[in-house]
Amino acid sequence: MQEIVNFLIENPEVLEKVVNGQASLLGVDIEDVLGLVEGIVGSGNLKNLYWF
Amino acid sequence: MGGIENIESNRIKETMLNIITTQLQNDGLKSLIFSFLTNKEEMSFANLTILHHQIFDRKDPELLNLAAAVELLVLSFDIFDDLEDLDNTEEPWMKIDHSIALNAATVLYTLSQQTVLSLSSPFKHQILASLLKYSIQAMEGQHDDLEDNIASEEDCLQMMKLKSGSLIALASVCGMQLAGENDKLVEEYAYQIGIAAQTDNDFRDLFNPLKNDMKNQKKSLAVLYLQRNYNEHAIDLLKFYQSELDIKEQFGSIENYKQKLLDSGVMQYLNVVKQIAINRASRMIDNLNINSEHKEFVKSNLINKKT
Repeated sequence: MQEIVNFLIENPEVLEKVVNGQASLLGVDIEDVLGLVEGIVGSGNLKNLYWF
Repeated sequence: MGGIENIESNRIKETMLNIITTQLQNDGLKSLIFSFLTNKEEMSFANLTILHHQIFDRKDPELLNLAAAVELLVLSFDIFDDLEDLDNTEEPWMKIDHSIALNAATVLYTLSQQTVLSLSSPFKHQILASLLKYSIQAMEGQHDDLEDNIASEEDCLQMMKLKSGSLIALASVCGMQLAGENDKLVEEYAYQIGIAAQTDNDFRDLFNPLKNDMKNQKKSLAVLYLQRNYNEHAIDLLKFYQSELDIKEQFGSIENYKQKLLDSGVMQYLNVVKQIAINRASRMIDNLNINSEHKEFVKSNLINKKT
């Protein structure tokens, strides 16, 4: 999962294609793709949640 | 909600105190253990036991005793964990002679099993077997964590499943078994919830001002990801964790530090691991053989609080 997350962060255009159903991710269980996308897209919100 | 009764934490606590009072003879030991319970307000694991009994539409009169036994066991694990990690120095058991705290924790661990064995339920031996099985799994996960015996992402996820997921499985499966039910899905989604909760802890640790685990680069999902050195931000963060500087000294502000975490990718990575685990658990809960109202109740207690 480390490699695929790093790849999608470095290649946001691929992430967009995955979101739009125009690309699939080899090696990722189809049922986990939604969590993968939600995890990356939603991580910006975490910035506001965690303090000391 | 039909079949679901809200049992207040103070009733669980009263039951725990009652078990200690009736099973122990030594007044000093009783007082000591009472002092460990004084500030305990959350009964998360006991509530999991109660929840997983009630969703199968059963109301065993000894449910509270089982829930208290589970909470006593988890308290013993908390104490063992703090003594092993020399962590949470504000807890009452960390402020006394550690050999006395260790003995008290062992008493709690044993009292928990004795309480299960004293149930009149025909399922008590099955419940005790589960309690022991998941306890051993949690101890195995703890061993790998203490040894820092983790080389890969897979090793780390397995450790998280054992260390954190096993205790969630223990609390949930025991409640279900008291209802005379046995669905493997409960164990499976409990493991996923454990991974999600532990990932949350890993993320919070990134903000721990003492950052001992980060300084020692103790293996966690975050450290393993950063150590892949995917970019300069990851390298900068690893150097920072080994430095004597605090966040503000190094990055100027918390906001800058958070941006660095985002730029390194570690924030996205942890969120992905957590989200995948939550989604897996949610799908498994959907497949439970209970009514849809109860499925939503399980999700609102296990998942919505974690997101």
